[in-house]
Amino acid sequence: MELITILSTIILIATISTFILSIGAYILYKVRSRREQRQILSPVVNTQAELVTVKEADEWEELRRKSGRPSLSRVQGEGVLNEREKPEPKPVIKVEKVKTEKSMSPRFVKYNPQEIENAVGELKWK
Amino acid sequence: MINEDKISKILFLIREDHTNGYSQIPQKHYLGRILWSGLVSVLLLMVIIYTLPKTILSVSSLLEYSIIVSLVLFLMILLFRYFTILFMAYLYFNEYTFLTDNNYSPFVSIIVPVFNEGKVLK
Amino acid sequence: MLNLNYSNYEIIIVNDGSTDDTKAIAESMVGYHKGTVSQIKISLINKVNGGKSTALNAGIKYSDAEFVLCMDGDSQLSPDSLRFAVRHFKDAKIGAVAGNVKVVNRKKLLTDLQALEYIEGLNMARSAQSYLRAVNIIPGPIGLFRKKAIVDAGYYSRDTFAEDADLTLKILAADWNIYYEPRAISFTEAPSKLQQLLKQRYRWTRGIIQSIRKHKKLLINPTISFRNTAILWSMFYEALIWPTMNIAAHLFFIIAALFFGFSSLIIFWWIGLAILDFISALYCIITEKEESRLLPYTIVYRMFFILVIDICKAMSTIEEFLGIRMTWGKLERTGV
Repeated sequence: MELITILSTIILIATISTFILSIGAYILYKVRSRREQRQILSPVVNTQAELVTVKEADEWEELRRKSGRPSLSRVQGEGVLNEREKPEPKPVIKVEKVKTEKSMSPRFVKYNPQEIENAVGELKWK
Repeated sequence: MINEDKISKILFLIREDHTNGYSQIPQKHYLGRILWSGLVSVLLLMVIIYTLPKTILSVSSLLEYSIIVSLVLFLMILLFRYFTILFMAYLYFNEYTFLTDNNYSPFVSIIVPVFNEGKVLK
Repeated sequence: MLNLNYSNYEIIIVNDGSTDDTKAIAESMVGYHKGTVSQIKISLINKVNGGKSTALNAGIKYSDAEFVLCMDGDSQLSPDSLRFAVRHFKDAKIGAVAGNVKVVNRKKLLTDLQALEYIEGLNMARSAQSYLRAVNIIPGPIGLFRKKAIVDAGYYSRDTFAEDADLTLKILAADWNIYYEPRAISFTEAPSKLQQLLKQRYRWTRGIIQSIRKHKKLLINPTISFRNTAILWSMFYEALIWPTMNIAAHLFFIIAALFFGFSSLIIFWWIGLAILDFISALYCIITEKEESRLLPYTIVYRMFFILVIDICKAMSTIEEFLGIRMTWGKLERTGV
C-alpha cells in the first residue's frame, strides 16, 4: 500500500472517530447537565450586601456627613450603594512611584520583546 | 494582617440595573421555528427541482458544481481570514512603541468575584 | 495579587454568596497587606448569590477608582500586568484594555491544545483587532476598564451568558476604543476534561450569540457605526459561519472518501491545514515567547481539536436557535 493511502486511511478513521466522539460527548454533557438543571435568572431585585473593610471607612463617613451627602453606613435595608456615592477621598495608601528599571532613549522605539522586557512607559503611536 | 477590632462591617443594598436587552426565547417557539425552517427548505428544494430541467445541468453535475464552488469558497475565506489576521497582528506589533520615562500610575481597584473559590483565593 | 509591580491599587473581593468557607477565608484577608511596592488594602463585599455579573457590578459600584480591573477568582495576574495595561489609558479614547490569558495547568493533551488555542486563536485575533482599537471580547480573567466606559455601557448585564463579550460590545457601542496588551498576563486554569471543556464552550457560544442578538441593530445597520458592524459580523462569522463551514468540509471529505473513493483528498486537506496552523502557531509562539513544545500540537489542532470545538459550537447554536434553556455550568477548579 502506498504511503498516501495509509495516511489517508489513518486520517479518515481519526476524523470519523472525532466526529463520533464529539457528538457522543456532547450528548453525554447534555444528559448530565439536564440532571442539574436549575433556574438561573432570578427576578432583578435590589440585593443586600455586607461590606467588610478596614476602619478608614468611618473617616470617609465623617467626611461624607460634612459634605452633606447621604450616609454609606446604613441601617439594614435603607440605603443604596450606587456609583459615585462614596466620598471623594481615597483610602490612605502609601503611594510610591513605579520604578523604572533602565533608562532608554526618549525617542519612540519599535516593539522588541527582548528590549522592553523590563521597561515601562507611555504608549505612543506612529 | 490587622486586628479584628480595626475591621468595620457595613450593611447596604446594591441596586440592580434593569436590562432591556436580550431575553431567552420562550420554549413554545420551538415548534414554530422548526416548522418555518422546514417550510423554507422544502420551498428551496422545490425551486431547484422545478428549475433544474430548464438548465443544462443534471442533478449529479449540480452536486459536483456546488461542492466544487463551496470548497473553493471555503478555501478562499479560510486563507483570507488567516492572512488578514496575521497581517493585522503584524501591523499591531509593528506600531507597538513606547516611551520609558513615565510614572503614570492612577489608582486602580482590582475586583475579584468569588463563588466557592476559597481554596484558590488562598 | 499582592506581588504586582504597581503602587496605587486596592483589592475588592466580592463573595457572591459562597456556600463553603470562602467567606471566612476572604474575611481573614481584609486589611492592609504588604505589597511589592506599597501597602495594599483588601476589602470584602459579601452578597447573596446573583452571578458573576452582579458580583462585578457590586465591586465596580463600590470602587472609588477611575480604573477597575475585573478578573476571575481563580486567575493569577503576572506582576507586571497592571503597570503595562494601565498606561494605555493615557489615550483618553481608550475605554478598556484586554489582557493576555494563558493556560496555567499545562502538560496534558487537552490543556496543551487549549494553551495553543489561546495563543494562536484568541490572542492573535486580539492583536489584529487591537490594530483597529476594537477588541471584541475582553477576557473574563483580565480586563482593565475606565470606570466611565463601564458606566456609559451600563455595567455588566445578567441577561447573557457571556457577560464579558456583552460588556465589550456595549463599550464599543458607546464609542470607546479597546486595546489589547499582550504583557498584561493572567494565568487561568483551563478545563482538563472533555466534558468541562464542552460545558465552557457551550456557555461561550450561546453567550456570544446572545450578545450579538442584543446588538443586532449594529449588525444590520452600518450607518450607526461601520466599525461596530464589522466587529459584529466578524463575531458572527467566527461563532456561526466558520464552524458550519468547517464541519461541512470535514463531512464532505469523509463522504468523498467513503462513497466515491477519493480517499487521498483528506490527507491533502489535512496537510494544508496543518501547514497553515504551523505557520500561525510559529509566529505566535515567537511573538509571545511561548513554549516551543506546543508547536507539534498543530498536527492535531485543526483536524481534531477544533473539530470537537466546532461541533460543540454548532450544537450550541442550534440549541440557542431553538431557545432551549441553559444553565451556567460552573467549572470545578482544582486550584493548580
